Amino acid sequence: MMLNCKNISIKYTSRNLINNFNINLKRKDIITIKGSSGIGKTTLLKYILGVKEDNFTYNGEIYFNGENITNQTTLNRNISMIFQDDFLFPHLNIIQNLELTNKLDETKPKELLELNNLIHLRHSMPNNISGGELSRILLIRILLLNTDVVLLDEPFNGIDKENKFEIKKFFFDNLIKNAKGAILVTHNDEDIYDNKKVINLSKNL
Amino acid sequence: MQLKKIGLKVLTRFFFYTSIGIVFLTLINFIFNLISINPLEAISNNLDSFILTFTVNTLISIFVIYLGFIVSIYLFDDLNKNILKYFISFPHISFAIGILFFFSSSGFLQRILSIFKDSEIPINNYLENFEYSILYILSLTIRELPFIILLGITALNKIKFQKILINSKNLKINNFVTYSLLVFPIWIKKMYLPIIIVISFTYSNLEYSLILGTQFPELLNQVLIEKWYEDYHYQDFKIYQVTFCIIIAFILNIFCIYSLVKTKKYIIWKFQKSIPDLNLALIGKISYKVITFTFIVNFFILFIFSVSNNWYFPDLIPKNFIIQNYNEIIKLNFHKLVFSICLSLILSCIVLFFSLHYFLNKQNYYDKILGKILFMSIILLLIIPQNIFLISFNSLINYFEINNIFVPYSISLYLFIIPYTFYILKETFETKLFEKLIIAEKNLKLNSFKFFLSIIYPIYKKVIWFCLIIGFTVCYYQFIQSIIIGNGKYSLFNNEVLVLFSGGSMSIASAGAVINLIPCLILFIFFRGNDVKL
Repeated sequence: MMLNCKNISIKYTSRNLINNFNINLKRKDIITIKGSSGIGKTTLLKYILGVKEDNFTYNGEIYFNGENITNQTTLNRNISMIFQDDFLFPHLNIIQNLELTNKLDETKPKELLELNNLIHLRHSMPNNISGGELSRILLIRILLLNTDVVLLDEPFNGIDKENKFEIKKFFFDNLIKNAKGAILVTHNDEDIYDNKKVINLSKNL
Repeated sequence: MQLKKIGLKVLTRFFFYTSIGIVFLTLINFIFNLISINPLEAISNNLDSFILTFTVNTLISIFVIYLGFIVSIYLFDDLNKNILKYFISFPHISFAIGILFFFSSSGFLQRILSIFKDSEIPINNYLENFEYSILYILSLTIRELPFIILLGITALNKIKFQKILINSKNLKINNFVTYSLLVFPIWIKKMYLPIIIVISFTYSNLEYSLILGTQFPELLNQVLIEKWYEDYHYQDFKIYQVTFCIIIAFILNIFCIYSLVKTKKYIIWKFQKSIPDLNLALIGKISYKVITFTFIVNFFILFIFSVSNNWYFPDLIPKNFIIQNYNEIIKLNFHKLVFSICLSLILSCIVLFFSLHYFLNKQNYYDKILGKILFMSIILLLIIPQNIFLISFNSLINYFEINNIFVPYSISLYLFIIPYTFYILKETFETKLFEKLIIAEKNLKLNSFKFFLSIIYPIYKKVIWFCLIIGFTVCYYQFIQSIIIGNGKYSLFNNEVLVLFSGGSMSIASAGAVINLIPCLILFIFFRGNDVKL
C-alpha cells in the first residue's frame, strides 16, 4: 500500500462536492478519476497534495505507507502534481527549471532530456517552446523531483489530436518505468490509461 | 457641436505638444550646457559630496527595494495594507520634521529615555554628523516604502504570485528560495520604473537634507542649491558641474542596483540547495510594524509639539494644550494655504481634463506619434531628478527673458502632475473593456458628452477621482519648484513650513507641519477606492 485516502468529503460553502471518497494507490498504478466540470476533481487532487482553498471544508484522512499525512504540509509530502495550467518559471531556461527541482543525480536533467529527444531545448526559454514540448518538460520536472506519487490534473487538455497519442504514451511509459503511482483526473474517456482502474466521481455523489 | 469638438481637439493637442516641447527643449538645453564642462574637474571639485551622495542614496535604494519586496509579500493577503495609502499622503517636509523631533538631542526619544535615566534633556535641536547620515537613510527609506509596497503588491498580482507559491510548494522548493529566486526576479522587472522614481527623488529632494541638518561634506542636492544662490546668473558652469555629478552618481546608483540584483540571483542559484529557509515573513512583519509605528508616532509628535506653548517642556506631554500656534499660522499664512490648495486643484483638474480627453478620443483624433512621444517625455520626467530638470528649465526662462514668472512656475508644477495622471489612466484605459466601450459608443452613435457621463464616469469614477487626488497631492507637495523657478515669489504652503522651521519656533513649525498634511489626508480618507489598481 502506498497512498490511501479514507472517507474524503469536500464541501464548498454548504454544497457537497465530494462525498466519502476512497482510493488505494500502489506503485505503477495509474488510477483515473472521471467526472464532469465543476464536480471538484481539481480540489480533491489539491487536497491530496496538501493545498487547501478558501471557503472549502475538508474531511477525511490521507495515509502514505501507513503514516497519516493529513496534517503534513505540501513540502513534506511525498506527492507532487502537474496542474491543469501548469507552467515553467518564465525567467529560467529549460535546464535551469529542471535543475531547480532536481533531487536525483546532477547529470539526470540532461540525461532525461537526451533520452526523450528534448536536449535541443535545454537553453530555450519557456515561452519559446510548444504546448506539447511543455507537457513533456513538466513531466520530466516531476520525475526529477522523485516523489512516489504523481497527481495529474487534465494533463492532455489543449493538446492536438496528432500529438496526443504520443504524449500520453510518453507520460504513461515514464511513470511506469520510474515506478510511480499516479492519479489522473480527466473528463475525457480517451485519456483513461486502464479501464479497470477508473473512479467515476459523478457516481460518488 | 462639431466646432466644439474640433476646438477641444486643437486645445488638447496644444496642451500636450507644448508640454512635450518644454520637456525636450529643457533636456536639450541641459545636454548643451553639460557639453561645455570638464567632467574630471566637476567630479574632483565635488568629490566628497559625490561619494557621500552616492553611498547614502545607494543604501536607501537597496533598503527600499528589498524591504519593499519583503513587506509586499507579507502584506499580500493582509487587509490592513490600505493604511499605506494614508502614509503616501504624508508630506515629506512634515515627515522630516517629525523624524528630527523624535531623534534630536532634545527630542521625544531623549524624553522617554530621561524617564528611566533621570537625566536632563539638553536644550538643542541638532544631530551629530553620523546620526544625520543614519537618519537621512532611515527617514527616506521609511517614507518611500509605502509607495513601493503598494505598487509591489500590485506587481505581485500581475505576476500571479499565488500560483508561483503553490507551484513551488508542489516542487518542494523552500520559501526563501521561492521568494528570492522565483518571485523576486520577475517582480523586479515590473518594479523598475517605481524604483527609478524613488532613486530619482533621493537625488532631488531637499526637504530631508535641510531639515535633518547640514554637515561636511554635504549632499550634492544641497551643494546644488547653495551654488544656485551664490552663482545664480554669474557662474552657470559651477551649477552645471554639480548637476553633472548628480547625473553620474544617479547612473552609477542604478547600475549598482542592477548589478546587485544580478549577482544576488547568481549567488542564490549557486547555493540554493544549502541556503536555510530564512523567515522572510518575520522580517516583513517587523518592517511593516516599524513603518506603521514611525508614521503614527511622527504624527503624534508633531501634534503634541504643535499644541504646546513652550517647545522645551520637560515632559512627554505638555501640561497645557493651546491652539495659539494654529491661530498664528492661519493668521499669517492662510493666503498661502488657500493659494496652494487652489493652484493644486486647478492644475490637477486641467491635467485630468486633457488626459481624459486624450484617452477618450485617442482613436478618433490622435496619431500614434503623439502617443509615443508623450509616453517618452512622461518617462523622462519621472526618471530624471527634478532639481536637474528645473535648473535647466529656469535657464530657458532666463534666456527667453520671461518676466511674468507665474506662468512658467505653473508649468513647472503641472509638468510633474502629467506623468502620474497619464500613467494611471493609461493602465485603466488601455484595456479590452475600454476598447469595447469605445466601439459601442461609435456603434450606438452616442453623443461624446453623454457617453462620458452615463457610461465612462460611472464605470471609472473611482479611477478618475483617484487621478485627481494623486495629481493634487503631487502638486501640493512640490518643494523645489518655488526655490528654483518661483524664486520664493509663489511659494506653496509646503515651502512655508520650512520657513517656519528656520524661524526657530518649533511649536509653530509643528503646527505648520500638521496643517500641511491635513488637505491630502482628508482627500485620502474620503476616497474609498480601495480597488483602484495603482
